[in-house]
Amino acid sequence: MNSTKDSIEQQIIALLVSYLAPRWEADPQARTEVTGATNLTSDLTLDSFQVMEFLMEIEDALDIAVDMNSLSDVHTVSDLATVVARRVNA
Amino acid sequence: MNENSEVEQLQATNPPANHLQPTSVNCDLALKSDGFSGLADALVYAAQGTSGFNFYDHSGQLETVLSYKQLLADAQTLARRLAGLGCPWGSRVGIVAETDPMFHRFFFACQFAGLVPVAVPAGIQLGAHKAYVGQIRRMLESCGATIAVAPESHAGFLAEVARSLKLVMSGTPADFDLLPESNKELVPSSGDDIAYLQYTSGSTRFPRGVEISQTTVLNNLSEIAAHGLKLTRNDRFVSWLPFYHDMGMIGFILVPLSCQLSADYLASRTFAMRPRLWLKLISDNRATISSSPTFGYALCARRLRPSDYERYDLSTWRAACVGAEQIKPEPLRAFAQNLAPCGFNARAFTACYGMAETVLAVSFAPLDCGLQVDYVDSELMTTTGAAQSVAASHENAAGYVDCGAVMPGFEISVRDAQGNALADRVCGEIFLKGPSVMSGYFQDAESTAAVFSKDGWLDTGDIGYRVGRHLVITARSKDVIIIKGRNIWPHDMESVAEKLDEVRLGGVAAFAVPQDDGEDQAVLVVETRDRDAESRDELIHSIWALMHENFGINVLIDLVKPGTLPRTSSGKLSRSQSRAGYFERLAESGRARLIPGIGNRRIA
Repeated sequence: MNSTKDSIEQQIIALLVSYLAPRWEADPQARTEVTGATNLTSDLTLDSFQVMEFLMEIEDALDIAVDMNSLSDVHTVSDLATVVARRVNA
Repeated sequence: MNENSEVEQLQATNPPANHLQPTSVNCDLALKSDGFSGLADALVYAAQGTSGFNFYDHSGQLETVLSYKQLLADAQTLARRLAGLGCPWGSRVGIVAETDPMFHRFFFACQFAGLVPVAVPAGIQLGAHKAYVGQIRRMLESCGATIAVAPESHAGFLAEVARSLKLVMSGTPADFDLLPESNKELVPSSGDDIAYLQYTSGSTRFPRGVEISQTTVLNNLSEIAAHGLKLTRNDRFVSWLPFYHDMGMIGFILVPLSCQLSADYLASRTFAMRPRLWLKLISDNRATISSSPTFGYALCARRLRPSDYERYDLSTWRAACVGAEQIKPEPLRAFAQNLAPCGFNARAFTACYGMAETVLAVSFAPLDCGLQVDYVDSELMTTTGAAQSVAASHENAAGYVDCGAVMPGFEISVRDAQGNALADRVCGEIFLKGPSVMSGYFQDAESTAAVFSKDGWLDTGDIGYRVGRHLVITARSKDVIIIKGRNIWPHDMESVAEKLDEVRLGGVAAFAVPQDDGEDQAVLVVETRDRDAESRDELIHSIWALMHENFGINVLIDLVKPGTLPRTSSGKLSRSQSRAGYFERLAESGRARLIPGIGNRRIA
């Protein structure tokens, strides 16, 4: 598996888009482009339980365990990719 | 014989991959739940048996077993190391309360060394580095901690805080393991010595530490064992509640320990990610006691798939306690219905009432009866305060969950705003007295005086009524909205708004703001991720209409992004902080009043 930060960011974006798909289907207005700069809480309005739910999907997809406490400085998709890349390469 | 075969069955059906075995039930040690001189003494007795604590990891595998016997040995060794630091008797030790055996070790080391443990929150939100560090700093400052410890996962945050605090020592458990052991004899705290400080869940910004003595905590623990849960040697606990919350720490560490029973833990975040592991653990370990606020049952029910319904055996779960300020029956009914094929019995739901100021529990609903909902005439209650019983089908019927009879040690008094005692079935402020009530907030005479009446009763701040010795909680007193002489309970407004599909459970806060004429104006802050102007207008219209239908009042409706409403460390909605946030948004907008959508028709 290629585990550069960029490729992980692309995987996270793909996972996010599929995670948000049902919500966007119900509410097309909420659909938004997801990039590295997208803010998880303010742009995508993920609440704390949704963050956990989404992290679980990342963990299952990449077969890693993300330490929640390493997310205290994560705001954007790109920040998250950095943290996840560290775990994948650990 | 019976117990043995149960243990064998457990081993046969659930062989842990790493060959660890969870602690068993005690076959030889008699259950003893009172007569201890302190928590240390309770541990010394429990260590004679085979029970203890079991920690499960994020995939539900047993990770660490900490028998009471092992805990006693570990705590005494650690106590001698802490004693070597030479801190005065009663010095506070801040422990970052992750779901980790280090919490138990340090908590009990303090008991043996005459130190006072203080559980510090461990939960950190996405991007909340600064907020978290600020929170633990305020707490460590408030209790005047001289020692602080955090698990490896939180070491960095603690180090940031420790720099600016005058601590004798701070670090991870590994750092403390390097300390030499003092050879002085350990003198465990007992009697009137402080057992622990508990920071209340209502105090995220201005922490107040509830001070609980050994005598006080032991009193509540033995009452819970004998009267609340009627514990026997066959009981087993499962919990995912955080240890920095009273229900987690008292209910699932101290209650099982003081009765020599085993407890199995999942981290809170494991539950949030994989709530079904909670049910799996109860099923695998044949647990009998597990608690959650309403939202936990709702989350679990939502994540279940029909294929799960027959996967678990929940028939042993005899007390599914439901705490927190307001118990919502509907999500609980859904949970019970979905899990009936797993043997879950809705009669296991046990409403309970309590607070850190009374150690943990004040009342338990009768066991094996399920939720008892008391239907009262809401119209009459709003106008006169009288909680007159009506049929559930009555047009004004409002249902409140009966929290059961207060335990024998408590005296209750329901009072009006002038302090006069009220009769049965009249709403007022709930006052309590008894040997489980705290002595006060730690080094905070002002806050202490504010919650004790002159005649020594604790003002709980909760509103409700009594039916004999049974308590029914209807709201928090400081939250009541009074509009033209009528009392409107914010919880009621929130519940009504939550009925809309667009409004999330817990995603709405109601409170009052003063108008120019001194009358209260009700405000409803509603979280929505909807950004379309038209559908936002529709949502405002729907809420507006519902409030009129149910309460006949005009409300200001403030739509905000999800995550805006502030929560306390235990996840409860903070109405007072929601109110402060509303004023902050007003100030930012530069307006005298938020006038979103239809709300402005009231103002204009």
